Amino acid sequence: MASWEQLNFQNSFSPLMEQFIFLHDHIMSILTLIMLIVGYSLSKLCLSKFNVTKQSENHELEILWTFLPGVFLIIIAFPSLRLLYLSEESEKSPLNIKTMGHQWYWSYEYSDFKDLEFDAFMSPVEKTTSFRLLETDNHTCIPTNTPIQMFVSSTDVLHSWTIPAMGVKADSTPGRLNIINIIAMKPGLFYGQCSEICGTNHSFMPITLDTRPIFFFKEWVKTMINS
Amino acid sequence: MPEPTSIEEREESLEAVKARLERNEFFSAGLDPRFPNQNQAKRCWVNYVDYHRCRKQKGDEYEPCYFFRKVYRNICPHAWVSKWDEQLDAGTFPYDFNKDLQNKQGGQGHDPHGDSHGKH
Ligand SMILES: [Cu+2]
Repeated sequence: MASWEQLNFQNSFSPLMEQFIFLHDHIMSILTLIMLIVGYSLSKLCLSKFNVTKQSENHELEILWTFLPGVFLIIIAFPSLRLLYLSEESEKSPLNIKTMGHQWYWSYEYSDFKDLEFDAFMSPVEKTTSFRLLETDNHTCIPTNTPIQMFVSSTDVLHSWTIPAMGVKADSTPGRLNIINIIAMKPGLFYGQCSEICGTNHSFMPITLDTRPIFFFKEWVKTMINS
Repeated sequence: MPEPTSIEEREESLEAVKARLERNEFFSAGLDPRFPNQNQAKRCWVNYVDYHRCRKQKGDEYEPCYFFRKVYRNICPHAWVSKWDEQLDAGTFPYDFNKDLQNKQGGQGHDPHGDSHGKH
């Protein structure tokens, strides 16, 4: 989860988020290179006592500084495009979960298990023993190392379902049924918040994802369908 | 002639679900190459319509129809399904199942030339 003074992404817990972080670092390394070279040249020119007053044209230099940015952009564009398509790549998943955005809570449907359905409201701030504004009363449980498809939709206005540590976010739109593909690599609790302004309590409809090994996931399903 | 099984009788019992869990048997609709989009709303709708069309044409006992039901129940939000069910009961569902039946019979009785349907 996000913490104070955190400048970078959250730690990755899915293959997709790992790739996002790689891309980010890749672009940052190029940016740093450009910043250093341009910054060095600028300061060197400004501080230099030898001014070039007779210089009016330099074809080689023009060609170089026209094509070089293009080359850099290509080096950024291709990994970015690859990741764009990778992030929408669907895999056959053994489990489909549906989530509906409401004003202002999320509801979840595990239709494979005897219509297992529940609402996830934010835990009251005074009562929560966990993280303020991030904890919900019912956790959304998924098995680890298993491709999961989330079907995201809404019953009223736009919302957006996201788990930053998994590198997923999708708008929940009335009348649309968007899919999100998640592969959780480790067990744990992961937090997200509604990411599309949806009204008064937009800040108070968090998402808590509970990832567990498949055995414990099945135990969770059993306790949920019993209750 | 066996009695047609009602939807309620087809519902899995709690015990059946638990036994299926023990055997690691999950059902998911998987992927449908007709709908490679991120938006799967059309897929949900098509499966819902297919189920009811199938039962209209083949009868309640035709087993393959229930595959469509499994799929639409797996991917359609509950709110959508209950809304469509209500519309079906009220006769305001925006799909004409009778049109399909006529098409299937080659337009007999309604269309003397049978050309407009392109099917005989
Ligand atoms: Cu919101």
